[in-house]
Amino acid sequence: MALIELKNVFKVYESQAGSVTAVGGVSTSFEEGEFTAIVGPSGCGKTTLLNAIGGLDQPTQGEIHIDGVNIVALKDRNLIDFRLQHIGFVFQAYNLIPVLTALENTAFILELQGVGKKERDARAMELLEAVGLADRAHNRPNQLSGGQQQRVAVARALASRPRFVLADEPTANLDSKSTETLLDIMAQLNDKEKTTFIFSTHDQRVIDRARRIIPLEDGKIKSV
Amino acid sequence: MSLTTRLAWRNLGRNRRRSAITAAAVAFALFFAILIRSLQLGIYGHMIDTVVGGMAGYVQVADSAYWPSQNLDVALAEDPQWLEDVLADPLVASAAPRLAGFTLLSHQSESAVAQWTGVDFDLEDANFWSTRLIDGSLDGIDESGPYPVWLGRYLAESLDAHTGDTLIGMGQGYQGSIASDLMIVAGTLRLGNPELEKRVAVLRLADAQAYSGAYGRWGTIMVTPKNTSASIQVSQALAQKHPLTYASWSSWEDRMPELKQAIQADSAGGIIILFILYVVISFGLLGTMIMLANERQREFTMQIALGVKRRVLAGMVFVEALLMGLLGATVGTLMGRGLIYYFHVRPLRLMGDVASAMEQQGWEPVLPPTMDWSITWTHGAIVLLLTLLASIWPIMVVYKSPSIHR
Ligand SMILES: Nc1ncnc2c1ncn2[C@@H]1O[C@H](COP(=O)(O)OP(=O)(O)O)[C@@H](O)[C@H]1O
Ligand SMILES: [Mg+2]
Repeated sequence: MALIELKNVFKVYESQAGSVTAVGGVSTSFEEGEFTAIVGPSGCGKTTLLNAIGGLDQPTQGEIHIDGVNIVALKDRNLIDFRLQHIGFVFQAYNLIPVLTALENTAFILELQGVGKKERDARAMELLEAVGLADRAHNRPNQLSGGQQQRVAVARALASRPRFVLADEPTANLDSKSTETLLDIMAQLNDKEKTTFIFSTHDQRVIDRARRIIPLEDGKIKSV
Repeated sequence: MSLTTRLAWRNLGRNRRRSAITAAAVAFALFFAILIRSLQLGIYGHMIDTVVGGMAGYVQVADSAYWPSQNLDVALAEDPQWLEDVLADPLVASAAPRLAGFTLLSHQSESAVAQWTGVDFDLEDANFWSTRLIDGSLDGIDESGPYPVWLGRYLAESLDAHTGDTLIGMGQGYQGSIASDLMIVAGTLRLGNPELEKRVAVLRLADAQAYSGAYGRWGTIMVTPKNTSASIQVSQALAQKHPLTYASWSSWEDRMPELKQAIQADSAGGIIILFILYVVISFGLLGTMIMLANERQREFTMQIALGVKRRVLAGMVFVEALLMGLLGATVGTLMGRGLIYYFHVRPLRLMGDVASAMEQQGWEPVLPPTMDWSITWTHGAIVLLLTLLASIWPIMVVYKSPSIHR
C-alpha cells in the first residue's frame, strides 16, 4: 500500500469573479522514502495541492488516503491531531515561534506530543546537529539568518519522525548558497532517517536535486 | 512549567510596552478603587464611630418606650447577672450601662441646657474617655466634694467654665422629683462631633443615679459588637439570646436611619465613579487585547497548521491576560495600600469651606481611611475579571483561525 494516495482531487475556489479550479483532478501516489518535487510555474496549484495533502485545506472533491486513512473525511479537530502525529511541515516563511529558542522550536512538536523533556531535548539536539546548528541551539529566531531559520524549521519538522514532510517552496526566500545547504541537509536526512520529503518549487537548481518530479500545469499533472 | 505558561510568560516580554500598558491600566484602576473606597468607607466608619461608637452605641438596649423621647422615667431596673451574661457572649466586645437626662447648668452668670450622661468608667473603655480629654483627668476625685463632671468643649466654652470650677445643676429627676446639686468641672472633652460637644456633660454612673434620684436604674445599655459592621444582625441575635424585661434591642441603623441613608447615598456616588472608571479601563484592556490578537493572527494559524490545538492557544492568551492582570493587581495593591497606610498614619485634614461645612454638620473634618482588606480583595477580583473578560477577544480569534494562511 502506498503511503499517500490521491484519488481524483479537485479544489475549486468560488468567488464573485467566478470559479477558479486550482487543482483539477489529481490522482497519484507517494511511497515511503520518496524525495519528490511538485514542479510548475506560479499559480499552477502547488500550494493548494500540498495544503490538501497536509490536511490544511479541504478539497472540493476526491479522496486523500494516508496510511489508508481518508483524511478528507476527518473532522477539523481530528485533523489537527492527525497532523501533529503524522505530518511534518516546512513553510516558505519558516514560521518559527519567535519566543522559543532554536532547540525549543525543534522540540516543539515533541513537546505537544507529550514527549518528556530529556528525550525531546536529546532528539532536538541530534537534529540541530544534523542541520549544522548545534552551536545556535539557544538562539532565538531573530538571532538567526533566513537560511538558518529554515534549517531549524526542517529540524522541527523531522524531530517527531513524521510519516512524511511537506515543504512548500522551502527555498523561495533563500539565497543560492543557503538553498544548496538546505537541499544537502534534506537529501541527507532522506538517506539517513529515511524521511519522505514532498516539496514544491519552481527553482531549476532544486528540481535538479529531486529524485522524482511531478510536473503541474493549471492544476493538473502534465503527462510526460 | 507547562508549554502554555512558558509561551504566555515569554509572550509578555515580546511587546513589553503593551504588556506594561495593560498592567498599568489594571494597576491604576485598582489603586484608584482602593483609595476611593478606603477613604469613603473610612469616613463613614469615622462618622459612625464618633456618633455611635462613643455615645449612642452600635447596639443599644433600652426600655421599649425610651425612644425617641429619651425619657428618664422609663429607665430599666439594674440587672448585674444579665449584664454579666451579655459581657460573656462571644459576639460582644463590650457592654456598659448608661443613664441620661436633661438639666440646666449654671456657672456664674452663664447657663446652658446640657444632657448629662452617667458613664461607668470601669465597664467602658477608660482609654476611650481619656483620649478624649483635652483638659483635666478621669481620676483624683475628691469623694467628699460635689459630683465631678466632664463637659463637652463647646458646652464648657458657653458656660465659661474651666477645670476646678463649680457649677449648679437643676433639672427634672426620676419620676417627678427635682434634680438639683453642685457639680465640679473635672475636665473637658473633645468628642469629634461638635453637636455633642455643645451639650454633653458626663457624670459617673453612680453620681448620675444619685443626682437624678434614679437609684438602681439604667437608662440604656451600650453594647459594642466584635463585628461592628454587622450591628443589625448582632442586635437581632443578642435580643434572642439575652432577653431583658421591658427592654428592646436596637442597632444604630434602627435608631438613625437618616445617617444610614446619607451614607448609602454617598457610597453610591463613589461606586458610580468607579463604574465609569471600570468602563473606561475595560475599553483600554479590550484595545490592547485586540492589538495582541491582530499581531498574533498569523502565528495562531501557523501553529494550528503544525498541530497545536486551539485550546492550547486559547489557554496561552488567557494565561497571558491573567499574568498581566496579576502583575497590575499586585502593583495597584502595593500603591493603593501604601497610600492608604500613609493616610492611616497621617489622616487627611480638610481645610476651608468644606471643613466648616462638615463641622456644621457635626463631623470632625478628617478623612481617616479604613484599612479593611476586603476592599482590596473585592476590587482586585473585579479588575482581574475585567482583564480576563477582555481576553475573550483573542480567544475568539484563536477559535476562528483557519489552518491555512494566504
Ligand atoms: N483562496 C483563494 N481564493 C481564490 N483563488 C485562489 C485562492 N488560493 C489560490 N487561488 C488560485 O488558485 C490557483 C493556484 O494557486 P496556488 O496553489 O497558490 O498556486 P502556486 O502555489 O502553484 O503558486 C491560482 O490561480 C490562485 O490564484
Ligand atoms: Mg505557492
